[in-house]
Amino acid sequence: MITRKLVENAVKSIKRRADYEYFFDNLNSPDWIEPLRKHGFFREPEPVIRKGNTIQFPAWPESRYLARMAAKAPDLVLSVISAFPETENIRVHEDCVRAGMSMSPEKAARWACKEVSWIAKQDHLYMSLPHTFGPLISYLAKGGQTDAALKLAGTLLDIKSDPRPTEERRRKAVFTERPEPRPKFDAWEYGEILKKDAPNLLATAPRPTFDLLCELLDKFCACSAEPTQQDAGTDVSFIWRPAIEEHEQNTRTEYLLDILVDAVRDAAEKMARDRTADLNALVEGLEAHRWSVFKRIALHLLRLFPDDARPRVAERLTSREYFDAYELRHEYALLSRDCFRYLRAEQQQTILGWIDGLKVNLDDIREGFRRYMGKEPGPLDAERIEKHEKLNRLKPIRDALPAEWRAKYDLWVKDVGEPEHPEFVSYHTSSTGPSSPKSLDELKAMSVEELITFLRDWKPSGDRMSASAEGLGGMLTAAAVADPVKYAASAELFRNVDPTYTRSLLFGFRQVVSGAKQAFPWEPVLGLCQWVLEQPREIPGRRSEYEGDTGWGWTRKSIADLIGVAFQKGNAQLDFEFRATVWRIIEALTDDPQPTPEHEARYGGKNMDLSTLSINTVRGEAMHAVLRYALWVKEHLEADRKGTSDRWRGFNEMAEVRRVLEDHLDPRRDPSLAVRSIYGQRYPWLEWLDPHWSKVNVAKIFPLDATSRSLHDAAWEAYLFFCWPGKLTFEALQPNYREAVERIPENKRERARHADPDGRLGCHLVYLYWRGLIEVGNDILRNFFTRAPDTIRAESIAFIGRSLREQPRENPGEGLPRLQALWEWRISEIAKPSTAKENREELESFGWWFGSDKFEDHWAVGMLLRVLQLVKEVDSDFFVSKRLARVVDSMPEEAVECLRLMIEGAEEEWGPYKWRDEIRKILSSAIQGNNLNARVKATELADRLGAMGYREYRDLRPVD
Amino acid sequence: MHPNQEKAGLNAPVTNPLGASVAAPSISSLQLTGRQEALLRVLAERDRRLGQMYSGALHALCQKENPELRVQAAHSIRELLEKTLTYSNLALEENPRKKQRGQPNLKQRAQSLTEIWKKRAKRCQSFDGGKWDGPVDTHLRKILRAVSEFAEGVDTDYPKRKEKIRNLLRKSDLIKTALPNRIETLRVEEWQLCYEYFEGVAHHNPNVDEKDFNGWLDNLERFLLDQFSPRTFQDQTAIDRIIKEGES
Repeated sequence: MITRKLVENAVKSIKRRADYEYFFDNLNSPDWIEPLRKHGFFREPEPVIRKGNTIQFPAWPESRYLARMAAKAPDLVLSVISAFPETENIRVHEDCVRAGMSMSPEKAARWACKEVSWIAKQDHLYMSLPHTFGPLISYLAKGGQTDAALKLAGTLLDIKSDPRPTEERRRKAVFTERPEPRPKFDAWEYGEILKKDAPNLLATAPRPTFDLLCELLDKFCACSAEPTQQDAGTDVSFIWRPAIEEHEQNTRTEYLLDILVDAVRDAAEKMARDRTADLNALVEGLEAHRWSVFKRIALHLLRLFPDDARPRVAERLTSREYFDAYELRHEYALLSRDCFRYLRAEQQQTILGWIDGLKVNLDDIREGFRRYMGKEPGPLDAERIEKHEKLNRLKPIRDALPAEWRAKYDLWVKDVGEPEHPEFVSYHTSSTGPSSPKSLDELKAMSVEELITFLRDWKPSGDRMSASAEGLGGMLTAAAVADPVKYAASAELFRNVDPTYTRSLLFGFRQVVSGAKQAFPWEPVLGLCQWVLEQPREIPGRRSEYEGDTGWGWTRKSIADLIGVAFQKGNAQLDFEFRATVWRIIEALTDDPQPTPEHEARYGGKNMDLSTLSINTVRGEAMHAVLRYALWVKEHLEADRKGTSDRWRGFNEMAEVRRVLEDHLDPRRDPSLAVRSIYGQRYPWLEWLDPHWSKVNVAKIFPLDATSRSLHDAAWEAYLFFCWPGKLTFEALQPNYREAVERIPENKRERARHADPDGRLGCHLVYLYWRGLIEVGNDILRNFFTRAPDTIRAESIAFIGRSLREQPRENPGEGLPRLQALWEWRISEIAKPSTAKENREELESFGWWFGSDKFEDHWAVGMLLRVLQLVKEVDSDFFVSKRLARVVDSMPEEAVECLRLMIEGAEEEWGPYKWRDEIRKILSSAIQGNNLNARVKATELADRLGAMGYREYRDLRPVD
Repeated sequence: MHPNQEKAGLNAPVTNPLGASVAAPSISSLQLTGRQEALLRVLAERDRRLGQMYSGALHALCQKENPELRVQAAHSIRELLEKTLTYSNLALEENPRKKQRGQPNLKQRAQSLTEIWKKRAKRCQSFDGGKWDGPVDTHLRKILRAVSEFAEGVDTDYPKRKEKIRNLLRKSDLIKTALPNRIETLRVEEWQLCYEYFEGVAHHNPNVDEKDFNGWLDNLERFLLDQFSPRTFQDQTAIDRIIKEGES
């Protein structure tokens, strides 16, 4: 028995929001409804919450309860939800829909009629609300409540005009944008309702549903048309909907219009097929609308069901207006194709007479050409154009033509060719990528000599849709990959073919050489490379990529790339006997003009970082090859003298390399920043090859004078991103590190890399410290942490944590005590409540250290606790929570406290959800453990989570 | 029994490896219930001064020979209720305008309004000898504008206690969606009744009934703990019992 006193007790027992939700979610009897209503409930729906540009729709436990009770007490629930004041909270509306669908359709219809007036007033229906209303339409329709279902569908699917004034649509594009009518909700949801729920309505009330769909399409067309198109009924549907039937030409760019056309078409087809409506009546219904798309649907319907309306079919086909209307061209052509044969002879003659009389106006054609193509047309042959136009009209009815006309047709086809897609006013085709005139199998089947003959003789047509040199080159690459020895052994035969093919062949070899184990016939390939280098860089007059490469520049780049790969271990390496030959090729390539300063200005900067630019230019790739060559030479020479007392003498043993390196270090000789970046990127290689040379030239590679700033930055940033400093390197580059730290706030400039060089600088410094090369007292390190902004400092701290995490567990890494000392220094500097805000990210980055699992538990937990007390958040919270769950048995109180702070720090109520398993483990261990403080704190935390709405931890709480 | 009532556990400071601790203020001469200790700790965590006010009230109540013990305790409790609305980090955020240096205080605003009144009322044609009659002229318009600004400023910068209480309750609820107005109002009134009781005792009623006083104190302690250190699942068990009673 639910007394007034009991309800009062219940209300008094609700102390917080979680209790309120709990109470209503756990009521199982509808007997509470009346007493609660008397007590004032069910009268104030949960208001929406607006913050800035966002809107939230909180759930209303009261309506949620009513939705659950609707099946048990439908009349009572109906009376309560019908008395709800109007609310914009969609969650309440969703609950009401759920309630309605638990009642009989009659009762649901009573509520729906009230709801319709609310929907009508809405400008937009948010989130899943439309998705909720759709099934209600079906429910009402299937339950025989067709009036309510139709009203609901009509209001829900109603369309509004584009609110933008014409001037605004003009400003937005070169052409004036068409008005964009919009429904009350997302187009996809709109389509789903039309696909899933409209058919249920159609099954119950066919004609009213059909009329409703037609009205929606009509309104959409009216709202999409410019004012000048309104009276004429011009909807340009032949553009946005080339075919009424399903067809690949329907690109569905106007999604809403398309799905409405589908809906009207499908409804009409179904009614005609099921004979739930008279075909003539349907056609008349469609033709009553002024927009041409309706006439097209009517023609489509007549074509599908011609036997039901033969006279009307003949009437439409023999209508001059229909014959001439280009908007109706597609459906008229298909109707004539299928039904011309059924026309009487005189009717056929009428149509053929119109075709015979077709004339073209050359002036109109010329004017159109000038207007839309911006140029004069070529010579026009009126007779041929007319024949073509007539053939377009004749082709659909070709098989039903009288003999004399069939003869004319065949004659004209011989003259001007068979018309393509005559049933469309315009026809779209597309192709992807360059295509080859020969397939891979065809190329593989050719001998090398046959292939070369073909490569020399075949000429692309120049048509963008047809096969191109690039396409054939791609196929040649694939052939070279499939059978490299066949083509490499005969490589010299490929002289004098177009550079497009030579480049493609070399590119194929590069793919094969990389990672190949078997021997590769290098000699003929090097011969071909040498021949290429003797060719002029540009081919006079060659401008179009459809003809092929515009010169030998790209082939040079392919050579540099191929040779660079040939020096690397693990690939099909070059024999050392080719040292002199290969050097001649490399040296020639290092003189290539690309990259020019203009090239770097165009493709570098924000577009591409310098290191990437260097491997995309001939000289850059060649300079990479120089350094790989040097390593290759050193490797071979050292192997030869193994066991002897001879020592490596650096560049004295390869003067050619020293000469080229010094040459390109001179900015007057080579001003390229991309080339300079290679010196920075490969600086540790230079040290390894010749420490003395590197030491002598370090100031040239990384010049610190103000006039060489861009050259310095090119080398320095590449060094930071690609290298880690060793002892020798740091000694050589100390002034540069010091200077870079001094410049920290100024180091911002436009760059293509997402990562910040200052962040990398910090990582270098903490790495040096980690390796024991500098100490906490080092001025560069200290200066970095003083000058760097919080984000950059955090990056360097997080870098250590992430690196530690990647190390295997059994080898926690040397230098952990050093790292602990680093963090202790950092926390002594930044862990002050007054400055916690400005050091927040650095403090939070400790999460990576903790989550790495490498530091001893007590130290790590203590530090984590200190961080959390200051900022209540840490990075890598996923790993942090997992570790807390592991340490809880040995440090229960601290683990619970850390968790409590993390939960407090979670900005959103759903924040703790991502740690739910770990929370359970931590709380249950602490509550079941022997540590009284931990038990108390864990219990309090479980209660706190309960107050946040997480009921799942209730079972953890000790029984009172 | 709720773990909060496990006395030994609750009085122990929470230590961490770095040595920082959060503990209830030491009241060695008092025998506190578990709930009182828990509340003391929770209040001290929010603001040390709140803990002191509460412990002051408890100390006063221990002075059995003191004829004013409940009056003095009520003083402290009234202050506690007042300052919880201000000191706690959940307090209503002050209007930044009020904080700005040079912004007039309430007295200055009232004086300014009075000045406008004096100056404009004399010239206003619709005001004659204490009677208003006639159209809104420039002077009356200026008076009305000044009154309107004054009222709006007071409303914003000096919220009523009930608004402050409502705000505190909302902010201390761990779900950010507010309780329905009717339930929230009941909670606000509960606070307000407590406040009025203790204020009454503090001002006028040294001979208040001990049992009555202890009952109010008990209510207040439960209320504050519910708000700041919720025992959600225990409360939901009570809700279960009510539902079961209603549906059986």
